[in-house]
Amino acid sequence: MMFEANEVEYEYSEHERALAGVTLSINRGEFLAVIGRNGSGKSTFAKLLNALLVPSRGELRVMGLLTADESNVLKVRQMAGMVFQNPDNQLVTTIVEEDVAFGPENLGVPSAEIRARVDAALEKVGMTKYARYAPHMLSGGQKQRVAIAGILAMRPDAVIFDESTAMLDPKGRREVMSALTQLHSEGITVILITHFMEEAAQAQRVLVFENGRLALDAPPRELFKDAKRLYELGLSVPHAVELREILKDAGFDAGSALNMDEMVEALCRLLPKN
Amino acid sequence: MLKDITLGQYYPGESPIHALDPRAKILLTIAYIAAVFVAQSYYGFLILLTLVLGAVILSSIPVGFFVKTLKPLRWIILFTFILNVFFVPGESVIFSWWIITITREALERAIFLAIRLVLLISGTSLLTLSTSPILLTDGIERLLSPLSRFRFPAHELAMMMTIALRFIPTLLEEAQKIMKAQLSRGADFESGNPVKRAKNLVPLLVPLFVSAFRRAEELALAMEARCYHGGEGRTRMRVLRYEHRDFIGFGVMAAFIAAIIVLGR
Amino acid sequence: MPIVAEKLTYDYSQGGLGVTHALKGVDLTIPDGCVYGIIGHTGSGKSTLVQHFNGLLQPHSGRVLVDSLDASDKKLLPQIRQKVGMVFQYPEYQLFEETVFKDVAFGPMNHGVSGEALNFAVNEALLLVGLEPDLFASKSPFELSGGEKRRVALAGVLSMHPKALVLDEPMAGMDPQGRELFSQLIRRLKADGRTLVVVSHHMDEIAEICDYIAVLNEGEVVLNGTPSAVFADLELLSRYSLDAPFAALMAHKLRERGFRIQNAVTVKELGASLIAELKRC
Repeated sequence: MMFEANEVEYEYSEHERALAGVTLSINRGEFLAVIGRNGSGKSTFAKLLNALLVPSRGELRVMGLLTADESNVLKVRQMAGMVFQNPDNQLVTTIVEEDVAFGPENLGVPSAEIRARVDAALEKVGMTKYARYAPHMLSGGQKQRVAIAGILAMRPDAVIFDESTAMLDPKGRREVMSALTQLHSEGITVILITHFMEEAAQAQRVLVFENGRLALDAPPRELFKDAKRLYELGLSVPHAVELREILKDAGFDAGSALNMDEMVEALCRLLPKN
Repeated sequence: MLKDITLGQYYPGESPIHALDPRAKILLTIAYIAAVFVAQSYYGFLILLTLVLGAVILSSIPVGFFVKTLKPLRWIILFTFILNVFFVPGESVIFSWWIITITREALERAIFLAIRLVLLISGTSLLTLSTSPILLTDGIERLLSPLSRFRFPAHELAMMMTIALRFIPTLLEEAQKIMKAQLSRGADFESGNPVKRAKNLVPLLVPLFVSAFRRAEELALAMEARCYHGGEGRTRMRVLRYEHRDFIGFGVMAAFIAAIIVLGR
Repeated sequence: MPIVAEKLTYDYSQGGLGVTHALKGVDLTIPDGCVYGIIGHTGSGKSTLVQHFNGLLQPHSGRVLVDSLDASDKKLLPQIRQKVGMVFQYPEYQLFEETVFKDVAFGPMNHGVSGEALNFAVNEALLLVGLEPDLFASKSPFELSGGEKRRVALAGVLSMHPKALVLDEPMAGMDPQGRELFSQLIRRLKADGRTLVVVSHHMDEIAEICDYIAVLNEGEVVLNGTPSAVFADLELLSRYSLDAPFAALMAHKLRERGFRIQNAVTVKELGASLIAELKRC
């Protein structure tokens, strides 16, 4: 089990409860999306997963290690890396490769091995060419890829993306999403917090947070069956589902298509060719 | 654009001077500064000038470019010069008009100090031109690290310098953006007396500070998430090792200092 | 209020490394009272172009006319900046006053509005963005939620009564509900008779809210027209590294599979034409 939450609660202060009653487990190698409107508690949940926050009540385990135990903190953060929203505010040094080395340096990895890890991580995200660049000369998507490389160099078991695509242009988003899917295909657990339903639809499982509680937990195909429920939660659905709903209201059943290609196939079955 | 500004005006290159260990370069620069103060005659200055020029040529930094980097400091040099010409007391008057008197001693002293300043600036300038900011920070950190035994925050200091260097372009760009946003709301940053002008900066400075704090907070979180826990137990990717050329550098410097002590005092 | 760019050029000097031609002779007319989308990949010159609309940047040649006033005339600048409101990306970062009221009042005060007229302008702007003045006016802008901050920032521009509004990536980072509220606001502003210029990377948003679109590439307007005209040529869009809206792409794929589907740019349009087609059979 990668993550196990048991009745996790978190409050910023006595009157501000950000999260309550969260019980769930996340398997190793899973690709999980987390959605919910702003202030629903999804970001708090993310920060609990790598011990940036510790539950006020209940317990959270990462690969069996209790995050509340001070002596586990570094190990937990090494196992569950986190990529943040703002690409500018997570790169620490003035040269790309130095930044990627930051995590392993903190972990006390020997110099020669850091070098090897940095080169491999940059290669993996396709940024080898930019190893000697200054971060501020890169595009948003490139900066996020450097941030991902910085996490990979710590050899994590899971990577949490806390709205890492929110500030990017479509090209940057594609870059990050393709790096993310590649990580998942290599067996790394991926947790993606996002406002983009198209991205959530690509996951194997989606968590929906509402007012600090886990409101829904289902595979996307099941989740997006009930579009009205999602609208009620202040969320939306992928375009394909939106279209599916329009057709359904007019009495045409396009099945459970989640994306454009599936929708095209569904329509091919419905429409006679001419 | 503003964001292309870099601090320390590093001039990338692969010359022997660039290749020197940053610690060696910092130590050599300190030795050089000491030599500038030891030198008490024009002979001494000539020796130092040979040293700097030799190093500049060896560094493959175009001499024209090098001289240009000294330009912003010409006012300080001029100011010191004038101050000395007029206010150093002396006996052999060479020029006198109204309340202005220039003596031979004052003129000599002014020229002397101006040369000394030029030499000082050239030496330190060569250090920042031939060493990237990150190597410079690295060098400083490692030179100071023995002091951390006496609780001197060598690592923290270096980390602060690195982060400052990293965020200067980001904040400059941000300042420009906020300025444009406030200009669009009719703000005026250009007219009025100095007091009013300073007051008019509030709509620029408040958001800039707020944003800098927000960035600092987010960066701290990101650093923690990447297992940062201070300098303890931290390793570095880059290993600094003194090479032959560093010892040659020390040797050359020692020879020059000896020459100054013998000839230039 | 129309905004007209005539043969507009603008260069960035690269500090001795030559110049980048950010705009190369842009001709563009933004008609009165419409929502005009400007699209193009990052670095295509979109932001440079719109910053000419209120005189933040001065053209190196050519000119910009705002309501027939030349935007390069320094004396006219205050007037032009009052006429054309500029809302930058993440505008919440420009808030600086102690209270929401003072912040929203900053613009009109700079243009000499005071007293009752100022109160009226601020309250009106707050209501327009959906913030109850009684609840928000005396709060500190820094204690609001992200979405509320953005609306205060927008109110801070609307309070100057601009006839035209330039919005740079207005919905960046918003959650779906925030985006929905925002597109309602844009429709309200349009109904109010204001001219809106929207710069965005999100083609679905653009397709939804714009009457006209201009495509910018390497500092030139390479295409302009209605959304259905601009999004009809998918090949051209991809040549300029641009995405197409979902509906346009989907209609294209269906046609490739041999269906007779009309061009569509929004999901609603596509849905309607699919239903018509399904019913026909």
